[in-house]
Amino acid sequence: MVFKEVPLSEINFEDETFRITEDLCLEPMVASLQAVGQIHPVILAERRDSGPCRIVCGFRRLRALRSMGRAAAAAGFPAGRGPDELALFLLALWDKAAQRPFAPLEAARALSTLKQACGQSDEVLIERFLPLLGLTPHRNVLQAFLNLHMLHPELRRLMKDGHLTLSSAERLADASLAEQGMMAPVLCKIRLSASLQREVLELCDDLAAIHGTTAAGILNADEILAIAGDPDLSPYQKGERIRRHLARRRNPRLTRAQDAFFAEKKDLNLPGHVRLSPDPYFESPQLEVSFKVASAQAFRETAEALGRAAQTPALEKLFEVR
Amino acid sequence: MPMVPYHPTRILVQEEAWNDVATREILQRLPYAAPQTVRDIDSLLPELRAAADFRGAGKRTLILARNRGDFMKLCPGAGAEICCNYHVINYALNCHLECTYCVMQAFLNNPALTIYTNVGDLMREVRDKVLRAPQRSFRIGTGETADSLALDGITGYSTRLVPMFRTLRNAVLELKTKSAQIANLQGLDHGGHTIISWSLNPRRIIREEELKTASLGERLAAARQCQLWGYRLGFHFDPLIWYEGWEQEYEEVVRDLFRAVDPAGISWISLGCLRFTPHLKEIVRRRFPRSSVPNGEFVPGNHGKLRYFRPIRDEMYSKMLACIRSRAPGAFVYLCMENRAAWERSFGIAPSSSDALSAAMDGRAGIDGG
Repeated sequence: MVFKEVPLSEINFEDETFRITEDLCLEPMVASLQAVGQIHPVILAERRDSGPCRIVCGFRRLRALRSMGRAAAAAGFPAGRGPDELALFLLALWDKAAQRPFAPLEAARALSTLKQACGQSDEVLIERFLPLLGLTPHRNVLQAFLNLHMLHPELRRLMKDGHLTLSSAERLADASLAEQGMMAPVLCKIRLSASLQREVLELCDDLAAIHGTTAAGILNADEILAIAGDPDLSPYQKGERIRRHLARRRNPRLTRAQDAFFAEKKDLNLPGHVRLSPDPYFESPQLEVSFKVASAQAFRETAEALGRAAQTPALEKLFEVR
Repeated sequence: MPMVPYHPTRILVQEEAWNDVATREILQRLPYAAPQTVRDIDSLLPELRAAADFRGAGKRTLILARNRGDFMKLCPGAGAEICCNYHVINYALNCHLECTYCVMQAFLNNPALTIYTNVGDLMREVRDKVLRAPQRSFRIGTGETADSLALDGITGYSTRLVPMFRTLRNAVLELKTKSAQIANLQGLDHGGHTIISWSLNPRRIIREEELKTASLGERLAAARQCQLWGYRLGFHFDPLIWYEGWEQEYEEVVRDLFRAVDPAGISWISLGCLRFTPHLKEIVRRRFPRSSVPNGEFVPGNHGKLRYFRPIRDEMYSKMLACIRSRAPGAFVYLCMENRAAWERSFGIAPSSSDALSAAMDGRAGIDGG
């Protein structure tokens, strides 16, 4: 490795062939450079045609230096003039591997580079590089991560910000980029826990299969867009409403049974602290009745309310087979 | 469409399986593929599971191996509130017929098709277990982890099992299939101790979901032939699959069934609605994107399995029962993997216990439990 100061004007910032880092957020790097200067040299590669140097390692450092108005950076150059793409990328890969585990999008980017830019076969990627990236050496894993690299930029951002789980991202990445592009605006407006993400995406896939459309088509229905665009709802409320809407569409008979149950339950005029719960899927006619009271008087009043409910014709209907 | 025959592209023989007569017989029937010897089947798993669709690709590898465990087990349905106390013999693992809903896709670790070659051990074990309990009756099927007859042209196992069951007073063998592979059954001395059963579904389901199986017409023609050979028959509407217009198409199947065979020779007809695990649903969506099987209205049931919402199941069972009884009033129809309440809602009556159902089925099978 040969080290020297390189003017930033001689570096090609547009060439991101060897980039692995997903997050190019500059603030922490700028703060570090301002505090202690450039500790580690970046790694650059000279071009055979004497054009501007290519960045191998140090994308964030160089961008931060540029944003700070610096004219040059300390850089190392691999020995010899002609290391091939793979040799250069391995420098970047091992440099990253030595620092911290690869985030999923970084692993996806690295695998894509190894395949597309470095011409590595699937077999080599599976056997050699998946373990290096901390992944299980299996063809399906490779395919999932290559798909993940094609994730729509908006969805990448959601994932990077922790709002989209890896399994949700993998699922979304199976769709075409155009479909992902149609889903992204809705998904950016809502928040869902990991399990609800899974449920919503599964509901979208199910409804898409049933109605002969795409998950994007389902998520862009007028009702969904109206919920997603409702300014009075928080992102979490929007997510929950959309989940409920999709579940009702997916399970119309169960929904009808639930609606009928709750309508009939209302007719019993029970006090609010009395819980009356059916079997969640009406598999059995059993009902669970529960209440908490803090005094004998409250107990007596509750018992009287239950007694009145017992005389209501609506009670029989609650036990009818739906 | 006739059943697509099984043509493995690679045959692996576990070292000790070379000692079994069955191995040599099977290989003689598959002369186009040179067998390779393997010492450790498990060491092949990474390779067998490497393909993108390893569940489909894996079946092209046939493994001939010895079963080191028990062949005969209680049916996995045992433990349900009302269960028929069935036993299963696992003579093979996996099936090449590619039913989209096949549960084996989700639970088989090894995607290859494995045939156990120590059939002598199998027969000894079954005989010992049956003879050791002369006061009990045994209904035993081979269709749990493989189709009973789809591979019979390769294994010829029916020619060993059927005559053996002839000698077991208190046992009956049920060969359950979606094929029309009955050639080996002709002329066997079954003595009424073998029932040949078919899983039935409408033509549309067979075409779209049971991809390499025999057509409905072939299955019914084979059933008719077996009846002429003196075998008693069984039919299984399992899985019943809901879709728009299911009533009419299942009614057509029932009509065709009773046109093809004499109801008096049918031991039993079972009904069981489609059930599968969430994991299997994912596999089906991925492997068979055009399958409509996962589109039904499912709810989680016992043991984490998904089942149709109860009113859908009730409706399917009661309509199927009415349809069958309208053509065969004396038909013995039972529910598989359902509880007492489901029986009562759909049939208006339920067996008093699993033992009562079991005894009734023994009677239908014509076996003597002492």
